[in-house]
Amino acid sequence: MLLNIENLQAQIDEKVILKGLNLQVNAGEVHAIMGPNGAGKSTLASVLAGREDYEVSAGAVDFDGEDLLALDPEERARKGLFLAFQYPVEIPGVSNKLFMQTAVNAVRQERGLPALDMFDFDEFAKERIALLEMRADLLERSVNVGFSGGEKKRNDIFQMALLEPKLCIMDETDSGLDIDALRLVANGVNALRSPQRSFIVVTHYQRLLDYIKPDHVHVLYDGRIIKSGGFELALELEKNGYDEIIQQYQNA
Amino acid sequence: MAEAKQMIDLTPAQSEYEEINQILQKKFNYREGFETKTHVETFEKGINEQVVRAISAKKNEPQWMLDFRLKAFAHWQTMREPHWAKAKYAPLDYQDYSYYSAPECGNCAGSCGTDDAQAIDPEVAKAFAALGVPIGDNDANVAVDAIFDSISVSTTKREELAKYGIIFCSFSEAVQEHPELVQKYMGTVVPYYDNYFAALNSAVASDGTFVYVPPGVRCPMDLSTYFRINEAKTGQFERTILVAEKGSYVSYLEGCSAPVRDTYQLHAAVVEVIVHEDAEVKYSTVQNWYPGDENCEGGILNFVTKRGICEGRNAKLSWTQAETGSAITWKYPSCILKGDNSIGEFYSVALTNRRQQADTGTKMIHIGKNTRSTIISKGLSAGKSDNTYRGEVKILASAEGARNFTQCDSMLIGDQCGAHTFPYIEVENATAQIEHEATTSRIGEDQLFYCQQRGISEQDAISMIVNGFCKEVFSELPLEFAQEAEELLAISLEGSVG
Amino acid sequence: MVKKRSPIAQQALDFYLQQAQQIAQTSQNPFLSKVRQQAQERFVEQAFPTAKDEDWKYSKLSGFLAQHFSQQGISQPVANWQAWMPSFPVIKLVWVDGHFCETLSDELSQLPAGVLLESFADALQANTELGGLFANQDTVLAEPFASLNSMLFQDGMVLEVAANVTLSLPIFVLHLQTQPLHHSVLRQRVSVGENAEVTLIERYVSLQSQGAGCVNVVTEIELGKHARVQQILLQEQNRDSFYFNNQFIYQAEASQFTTFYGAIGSQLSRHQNHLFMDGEQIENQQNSACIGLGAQTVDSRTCTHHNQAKGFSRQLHKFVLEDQAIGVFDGMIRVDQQAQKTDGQMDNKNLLLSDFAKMNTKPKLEIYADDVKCSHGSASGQIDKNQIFYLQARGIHKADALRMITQAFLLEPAEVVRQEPIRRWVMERLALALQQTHLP
Repeated sequence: MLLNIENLQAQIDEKVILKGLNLQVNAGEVHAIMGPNGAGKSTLASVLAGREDYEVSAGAVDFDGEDLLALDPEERARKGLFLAFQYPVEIPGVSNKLFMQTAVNAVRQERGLPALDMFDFDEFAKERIALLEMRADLLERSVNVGFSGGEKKRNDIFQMALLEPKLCIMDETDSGLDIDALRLVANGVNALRSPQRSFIVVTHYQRLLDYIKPDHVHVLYDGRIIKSGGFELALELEKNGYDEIIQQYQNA
Repeated sequence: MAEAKQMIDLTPAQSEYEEINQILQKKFNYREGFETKTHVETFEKGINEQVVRAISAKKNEPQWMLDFRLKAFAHWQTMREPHWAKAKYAPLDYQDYSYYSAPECGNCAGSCGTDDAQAIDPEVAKAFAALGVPIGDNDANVAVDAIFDSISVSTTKREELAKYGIIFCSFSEAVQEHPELVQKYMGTVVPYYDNYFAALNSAVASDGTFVYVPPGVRCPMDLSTYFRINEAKTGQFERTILVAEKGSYVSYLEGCSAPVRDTYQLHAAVVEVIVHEDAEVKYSTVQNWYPGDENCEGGILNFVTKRGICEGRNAKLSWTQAETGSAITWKYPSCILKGDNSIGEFYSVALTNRRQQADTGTKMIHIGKNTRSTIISKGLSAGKSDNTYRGEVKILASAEGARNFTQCDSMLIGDQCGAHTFPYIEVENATAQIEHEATTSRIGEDQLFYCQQRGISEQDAISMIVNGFCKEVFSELPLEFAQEAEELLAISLEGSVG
Repeated sequence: MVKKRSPIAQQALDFYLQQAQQIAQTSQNPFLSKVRQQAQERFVEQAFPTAKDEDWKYSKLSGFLAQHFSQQGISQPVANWQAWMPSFPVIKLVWVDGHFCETLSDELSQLPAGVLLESFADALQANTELGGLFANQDTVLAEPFASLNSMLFQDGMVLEVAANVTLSLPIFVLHLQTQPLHHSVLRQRVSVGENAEVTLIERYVSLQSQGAGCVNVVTEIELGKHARVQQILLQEQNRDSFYFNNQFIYQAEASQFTTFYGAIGSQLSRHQNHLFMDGEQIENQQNSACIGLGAQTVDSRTCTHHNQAKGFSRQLHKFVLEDQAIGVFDGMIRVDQQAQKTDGQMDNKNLLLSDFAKMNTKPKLEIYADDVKCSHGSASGQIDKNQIFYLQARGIHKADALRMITQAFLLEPAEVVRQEPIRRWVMERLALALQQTHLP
């Protein structure tokens, strides 16, 4: 098992957001986490990636045999956990090339691989740019500065392609994207799917799942997973909305 | 959405900078802090007319130079030490400084400094070697004037430059060898009565660099001066004059450092740049004077007057500076844009940490028609420091069609420091177009987290973000200098990266 | 250290000190005497600023110092004062030559419940305990003209709005100058209670089109928690006159303050807001629109102290200058170490219509907190030729295009006025003033 979340509880300031969440992800699986606004979807993504604003009050997370919650954010990244941000951050003056070369070499060091020099990195990066059909000048541009919403999300996918993580968490990657941008992002993700790589796709809407087909779908509500199922659950949600499932959960 | 908002708003304000502050508090690596032990001749502390005469005599100066010094000294005595800048310092005891110090075998500036590299004190040579300053002739495509305390100890590549008619020598030597040029230009851009420290400099000027580029000559290499203050309680008062004749070009660099001391040391330089028609001068500085201890005790007081005039049409003067050192920096490299269509530029990165204080900026005085100026200033404040941009843009009535663009960005690192922006804009011509923008930001938690999520350590992330912030300025520096500046920034900021 | 003074400055100083002596002799109240004495001491130290004083480099006082202004008692208003009243309904209050004029004002006893208004002179009479009226003298006396004011003032306004009172009608304060060489020294104190709301309009005019008068005002406005105050000032004295106004605004938590200053008249006018944001989540907007013609000097300045967290401040200051007019803008945003999450923005834009007009701008930031968003921008220049061409290309005559663009430029800061009739009235005043320019 790649990821095992047991009874995870987390809060920000005094507000409890995750109230005992359980989730198991095996290598190569794609899981979709769906839920209404305020259910705790983004919190889950942030807690897994190690954002310090959140305090984990109970529970355990095992990632590839290690205690994930004991690690710093950069250690998690180096061990293969990747977060595609809901709002990718702008860093003026820092080129994508410098940014990603530093990141890739940090990850390679962790894996016991030699650092890539400028030329090797260039070659490696260009290959991935071609794979994802991205703009050739991407490397020269400052990180996300002056990018459209779609470009920022695609830049995140590009980073995913370079860092070759074991687990990719996509935090509402579809928000703010038009259908064409969505398709491009999804194509990128599909190109990166492999039996060794798992995905957690966090989303409010089902439409992203038309392009990235999940093996499992979970409904997150009030800090817990209240229902799990296959792809058909997403279709059901699309048809009936969250209300019915929430109702059932509350009655139970 | 709601959750994302919380993440931004509810960041605990108190502990945010703990780690950054820890990094900042690490022992400061001032690599250049060593001291050179050699035989020196140092004047007794104190300043009076006799001292001024003695300095002049020591340098075998002609009467006109002595007269200039005495006039300046007399005026200086009537002036008051300025304290208007946003930098606090106790009034200095000018009698507690020595105004002349030189390694013993290099002090005959008039005669032996010219071509005899053997004359360099081996200890001094070692010091410059340790600083990475090439003072022997070598393959580097840069000519170097090395100044140790009060005198210039070596000037390289002179013969090669002489082929082009370029004069590159110490200021003392220029007084002997090219008196007509020195007399023609000295004090024309910065008069001896200009300000308190300029007057003091004019009285006790130690050494400096003299550069003359003849008409139509494009200087084939960078010219560079390296200043080193070694003796304790010694003031350094270098005087630099740079003249670019019609249609010429030169890129000039200066660097500086000093040993670790426990009392303030005074550095009051004057730089005058004269740019004639169609000529271009690029003047770059990486200032790394010793900033002092944790409380900036013992650091250099860097009170410098730098000014250039674009005398003729289409002249261009560009100042680029990376200021990381000194306890206090008081410095406004300026451009007088007199020639029509002339261009002035000022690119600055100023980093202050601990209790450093920097009050720096520029003046752009537009006199000629269609003159243009650009000001890009990046201020970084960390620790308990104060970093001030102070700049004036003045468009005189004659400056038809003048343009200025100013961008001042401040970044605060930590919550104990200050970042200030004081622009003065005076417009007397309706056809002028002036734009000024200023912003203040900090290294965002979200930026740091983004970097960390990609596996980059916090230290590397800070260094990366800071360098990105300064990029527009560093890109103006010559390549090796840009690297040096980036490294200096990293060292000054973090103590271990670099 | 005693400053070096020119003989003219010394004579003026002596003149005003002598006036202060006379006033002091008439004063019965020991507290007031102390206030005046303290002010006088400060003023002697400060003296009249010169061009060497950083804050007075561009607004030269020589014209003011050459004439001596005295308080010449209460005069009868001439008949045409009503022309200065707006057409929308207001609560009307009139001061003539610096003294409250009961006959021209609305009946004070008829004011809405919760509104207390009296002349400053009455407040001094009625009150034996004057501490409240002069609580902030330490702050006020930092400005030399406010010290002069504290030495000499005779009358003014005290306005109190009780908590939770919302005034639907604006209070309209008309300050009439009727005599040349008269000195109206006014003290205004406005306190607005918690969650109360008021709109205050002040208009400064001279009844004669020539002859120098002088107005020196100190205004203090205190906003309680969640209070909302909108202030609109129009300064339309004749172009021989002088105008000095130091406003001190103290805002409590979550209060909102908006001020608009329109500078049209006076030989030399200097209007300054000193704004203190002394609670969290305060909002304010300070705008000004300034016209300078002939030899006018127009000085508009602000000093905004962000003292507490989550403050929000916005500013827009615009100048249109013609002939040999001099414009001065000086703005400071100061962010205290405690004032995290401050959002401050200051913009200054200037249009120079003649080759001899001058604009001097100092937008300043002084920042001691790290988590802040602060910016300032300043731009000076001529009308954008592309804009003119764009309008011409749509069939508009060049002359009309110039006028339209200039007017639109100048009126923008007045958009901050919330009530449509007042906004329209302010804009009309400014547009009318613009007609005096040499625009074709």
